[in-house]
Amino acid sequence: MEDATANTHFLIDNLVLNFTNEYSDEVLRRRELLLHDNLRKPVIYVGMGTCGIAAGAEQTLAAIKEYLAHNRIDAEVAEVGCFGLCSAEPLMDFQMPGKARVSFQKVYAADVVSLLDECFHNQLSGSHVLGQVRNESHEYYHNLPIINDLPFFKNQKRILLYDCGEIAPASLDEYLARDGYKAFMKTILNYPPEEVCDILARSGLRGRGGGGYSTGEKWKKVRSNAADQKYLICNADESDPGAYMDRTLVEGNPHRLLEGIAIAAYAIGATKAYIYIRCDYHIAVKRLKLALEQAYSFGLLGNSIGKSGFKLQIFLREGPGAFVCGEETALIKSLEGRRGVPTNKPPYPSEKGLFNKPTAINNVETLSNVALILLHGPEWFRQMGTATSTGTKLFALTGDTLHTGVVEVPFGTTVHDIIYNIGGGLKEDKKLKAVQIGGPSGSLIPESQTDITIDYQSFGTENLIMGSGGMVVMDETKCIVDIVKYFINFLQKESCGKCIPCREGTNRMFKILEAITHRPGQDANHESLSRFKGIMQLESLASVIKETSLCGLGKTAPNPVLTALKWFREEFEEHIYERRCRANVCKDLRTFLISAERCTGCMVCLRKCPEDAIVGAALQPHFIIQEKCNSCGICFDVCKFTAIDIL
Amino acid sequence: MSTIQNILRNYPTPDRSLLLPILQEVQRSEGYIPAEAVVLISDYLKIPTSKVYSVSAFYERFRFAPGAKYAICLCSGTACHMEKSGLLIKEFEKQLGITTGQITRDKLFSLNTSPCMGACGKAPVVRINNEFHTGVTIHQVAELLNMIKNQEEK
Repeated sequence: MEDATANTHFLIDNLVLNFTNEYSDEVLRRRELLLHDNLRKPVIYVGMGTCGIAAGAEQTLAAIKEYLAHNRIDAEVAEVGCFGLCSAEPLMDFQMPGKARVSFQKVYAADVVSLLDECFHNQLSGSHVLGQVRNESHEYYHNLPIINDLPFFKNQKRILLYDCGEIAPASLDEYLARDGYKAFMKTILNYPPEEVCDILARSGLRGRGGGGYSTGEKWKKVRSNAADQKYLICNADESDPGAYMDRTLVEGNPHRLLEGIAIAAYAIGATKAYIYIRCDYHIAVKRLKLALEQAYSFGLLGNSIGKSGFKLQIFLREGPGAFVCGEETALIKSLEGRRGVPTNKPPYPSEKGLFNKPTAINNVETLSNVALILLHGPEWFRQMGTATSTGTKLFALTGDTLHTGVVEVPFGTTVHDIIYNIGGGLKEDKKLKAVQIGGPSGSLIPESQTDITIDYQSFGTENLIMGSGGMVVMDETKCIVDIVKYFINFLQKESCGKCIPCREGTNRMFKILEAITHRPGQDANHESLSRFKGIMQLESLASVIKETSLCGLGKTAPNPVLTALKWFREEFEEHIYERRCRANVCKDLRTFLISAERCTGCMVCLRKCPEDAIVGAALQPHFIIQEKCNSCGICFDVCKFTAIDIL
Repeated sequence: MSTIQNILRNYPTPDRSLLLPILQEVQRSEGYIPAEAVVLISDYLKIPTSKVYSVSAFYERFRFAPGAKYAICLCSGTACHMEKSGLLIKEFEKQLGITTGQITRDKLFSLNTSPCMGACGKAPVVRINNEFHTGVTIHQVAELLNMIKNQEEK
């Protein structure tokens, strides 16, 4: 243990605090070892992100350890984060000294023995192989693809994700070997805080949480407000359904975030920083806690960092589950120990934030960029992306694409490129129907509009919202009305209830959408009236909610409805006037009919029908009484003779 | 109640901003927020009991009754929704005889939904305590529940 601590101190003294870029042989040797360029023994990497664990990586890991113990093989097992290709989990990488690192996909516990046998006997059959990692100092396996050339990786620009899946998140040493904390040390020893704000402003970095406000300008504002105490808050309360970029970053490389926070705190003059992270992110919380401990114990955080006199304490707070706390004023209330409800702006948090002191709030992805910008310079950062939107953006690509996961692209890439070049197109070559960008309060984009480039300017002119970066791809078997209903339901549940337009408005919208997707029941609630008024009412409600809500949640809540009505109006009308769902998703609108020719009269459906809506005698064709039918579809599922049609 | 006083001792300076961390620690050790804890915390932090309750009731993760032995949690993320997690919830509700958010009478199962778990590539996802089940179909629901029930009988 003592040896390990000494090694870390050695790295900090000779690598982090050495700004000349000239290293002694000993430093280079230790660095190579930590970068896994030069191995002493075989290394097996297992992707232990949340997505990997959900897919069964823990069982795979246990099987690997058992294999090594059973065969008495001396090899290192490294637990790494997710490198973004979630649909290929559980992932296992294998690397022999001097040879290239090979990635294997979908390695379940049962596959481990045969696969590791192949690996250690150097007889790769090619099963499960994803590819080998490019590294010119290693000997390649012949006939295996290079992973960096796979379309999924080749078409990305991986700056933030570069380390994810490579680096062991629990190892400070590995991060130090990759120039970790170097930017921070360089900053606090060489740059005055004003210059840091300036560098950030020149880099053009804009807030990745959805607002898109210039980070450098935000910091300058907080700096210019005089106060005895200032705060920095890292917003890691990522709760959009279908978005998990921040989690991937924290799980993959927590030290990168800590370094970004430390630099930001120095720039604005804060000595206390808070990380507000969603409590459901158990693994991310665990890794952040460990990273914080490490940083404190080696003097990278705490009192008088690196003899510079700069002090910083970072507190970790778990957000106990409220979507609205992603809104900055609500987040502040929550940190103060109150109900997480938003307040009016102004005053902005940069004037009166946490405990009424000037506060800067930045998102995980934004802060993760900071160390890189200071390390490579703002000009390097400006090279990526477009003139007004610099750098890269992470997206959680989910839904019906062939590959799903977290992808990173420079601004200026088109939505179409992400879906087809990176995501590999749609599963089973189905037709693309729509893309939902930016989570529940984001926008729906139809297939015809997917050539839009991703940057703040073109999204602004189209009135679209980038949000934090969820990207859900839908094929033609998905119903737009149903998706919109799902988002509005989510928002009405998560509305904090403080202001009426949001609380009641989203609820009314949900009720209308429900009426549209239901069969006419008893008409006690004037359902048919709200059906026919449906679209008009939705539109007027949406504009009221948008204009009068207090915070971002309410102001953006009508977005899915409005964009869906703009592009998919005919589908709403079909639901209303024809009571028909073309994708057959809205269950209650389905009509089932039994074909008299094909029905053999086996009576299976008749017995299974929960509503006793099917009549008929044995060996005679059956009949469905539509008035009784509740469209559950059980008859359709149990029929062995495909005698039941859906209208 | 000494455990709660022990927890409070970990926070030497009473301050309102510590309310959520304290509540979280109580829930971690007790499994829920007992009524006595609300009173003790309010005494300690010098905030009215009603406020402590109001804050803890605002956040979804706090419970005021003990949880079930097997907490079934369905992902309600977008990808899972598109893979018909809604029908899956209905099936669980039918099999267990409870609605979402409730606990079975034998305190064995509870049923809840959680925001995206991030395993979208393998939707729909069901988490039972800390074990993940991916790509669950309606037909597997009874199987899953029977497996646990059999385990319990042993």
